[in-house]
Amino acid sequence: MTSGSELLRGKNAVITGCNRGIGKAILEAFALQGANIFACARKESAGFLKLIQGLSEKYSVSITPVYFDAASIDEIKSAVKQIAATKQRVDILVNNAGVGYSALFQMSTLDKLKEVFDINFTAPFVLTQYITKLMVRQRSGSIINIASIAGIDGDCGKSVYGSSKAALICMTKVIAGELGRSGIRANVIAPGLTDTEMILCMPKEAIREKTESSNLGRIAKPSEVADAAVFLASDNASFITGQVIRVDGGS
Amino acid sequence: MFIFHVSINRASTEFDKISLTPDLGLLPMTNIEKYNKAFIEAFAVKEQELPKMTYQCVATWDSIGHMWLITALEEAFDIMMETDDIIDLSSYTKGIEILKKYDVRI
Repeated sequence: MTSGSELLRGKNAVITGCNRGIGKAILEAFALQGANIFACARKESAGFLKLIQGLSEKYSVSITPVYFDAASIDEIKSAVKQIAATKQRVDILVNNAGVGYSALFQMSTLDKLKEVFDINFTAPFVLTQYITKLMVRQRSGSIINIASIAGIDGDCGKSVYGSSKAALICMTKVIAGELGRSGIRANVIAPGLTDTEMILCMPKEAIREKTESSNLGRIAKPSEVADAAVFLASDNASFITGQVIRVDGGS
Repeated sequence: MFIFHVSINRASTEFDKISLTPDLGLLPMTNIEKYNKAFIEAFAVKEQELPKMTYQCVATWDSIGHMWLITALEEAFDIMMETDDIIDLSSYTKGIEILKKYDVRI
């Protein structure tokens, strides 16, 4: 979004993985649109605090930092307690935090499989379980899970990462079905290659091939993924649920 | 104006006594009143039906209604229930037992 049309003014959002990449772009876009935000990150840093303070002042929104390690169920639970204790509504949950990983199937270790699934699937599973209970009380809410086209396309080298994102996509569709009658929507954004640190784990040749195969001939900017998240979070998407939206420049 | 409502003032297994309590809009609700309110609002049933209620005994106590009950109980008693307890809460009386784990005495 290039201007502040305030599509999210008055709404409260929980966003994970806010300190960099797509999560940071979503944080900025949501603040621009007037959302109050529980900005989740793994740990406190001066740069992160400066970022949220600047956004808060610039857009007159409340941004509360929440710190937890997504690999720790206990820390996730404590974070939700912290959010619930504010007695504020939670209108939007964006499960963005994730880790990338590329390796051939036969070269992928079980330790790595568990590590990636813990962050990319188990953490959003647990967080969503808790947050949707708050949403059910309100009989409204919008959940946006940031997956990847790797969870759909089955690209070589993505057996672990892609499977974790495929699991997230499936979970989202199930949630959309189970919680629809409670007024809760759930959708997936599946970005293609995006200009973040995560692509550093990919071979350069794979990046080149993906870029060339994109209809638009380039990779995404994080803000372009964030714009899709703003739309799905807003009331403009009030009848959209259980969907997977590719933000990949066409392929 | 006094509005009288019937409220159960004893443990769930003993529903032989009821009391008429003046509702002045000032008195905090007792735990049993909160507990019953959660069931009544989640399942749209009458208070006298509660003691015998079990999962799926009425159409409204389906999986969706169950989550509405859980969220109502969590809000009423300011607790976060564990998933195992959510699954185990299969009846009105079982719920009273489970809530003891969260220091809620009905």
